[in-house]
Amino acid sequence: MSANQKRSLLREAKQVMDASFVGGGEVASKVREHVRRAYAKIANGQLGDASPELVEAYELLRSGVRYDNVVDIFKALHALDLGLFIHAFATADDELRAIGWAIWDERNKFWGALYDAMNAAREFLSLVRTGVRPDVAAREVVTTEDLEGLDEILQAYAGTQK
Amino acid sequence: VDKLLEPIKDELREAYNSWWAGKDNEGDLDRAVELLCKIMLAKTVAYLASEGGENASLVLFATKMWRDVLDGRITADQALRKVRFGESMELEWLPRIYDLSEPGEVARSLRLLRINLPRI
Repeated sequence: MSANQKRSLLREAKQVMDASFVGGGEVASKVREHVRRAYAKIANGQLGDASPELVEAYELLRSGVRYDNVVDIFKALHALDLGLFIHAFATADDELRAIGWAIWDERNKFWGALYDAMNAAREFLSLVRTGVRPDVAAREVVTTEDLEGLDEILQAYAGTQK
Repeated sequence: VDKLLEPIKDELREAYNSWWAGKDNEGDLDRAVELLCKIMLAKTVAYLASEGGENASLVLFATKMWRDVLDGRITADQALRKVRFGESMELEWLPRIYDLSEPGEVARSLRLLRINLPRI
């Protein structure tokens, strides 16, 4: 049994939520409520019911953006990003989960961009499955400096599959 | 508009003269462009005020637009158009999502917000 099989993303994510869901204002508070509800549903295996909670959280964030509440929006964005990452991980296949763990372990680097990184990993796997070389595929999907370091993760993963 | 421009009028004249005297100096040109953008911002604020729509959000939004002009992300015309439509733009620049079936779209939306937040 590998170390990752012993780990539980839900358990680790809960710890991160408890530690980081502080501060901000009204938008962050409401977004967190939905993310917590989504988390509870994912933990209960109700993945389909978790999606509307996250969509609602996104809508709150989207409509809550003003130009005088940046800290609040930052906090809300991070909460939603975490919720979406947990959902993406829960719905991922084994390959994507393996990369997901590597992203999670580097979460301080991808803070606020976890879901973006997970999605890039999904696109990477899709490209590689069609025969694109891993190094080319990694360059193709890592298109923003927020994802710096992800190409190494993706190529390292590809190296383990040879 | 004149009142709004008053605080930067001398600075503007000085920058213009300096630029005109030594057009090869890129630093002065940058400064002249920046001041031009300040004028456009002042005009925008005046426009919003005259329309009864002056508020902190819109002024900051206008500022962000002119920063985008300075960075070459959009043209001044595009910025003015966006600002004239005012508050609706706040919702326009983050697309709606209805489910998580298109994760790429969701990721792009969050990225858009992430990229723009430090600039607001």
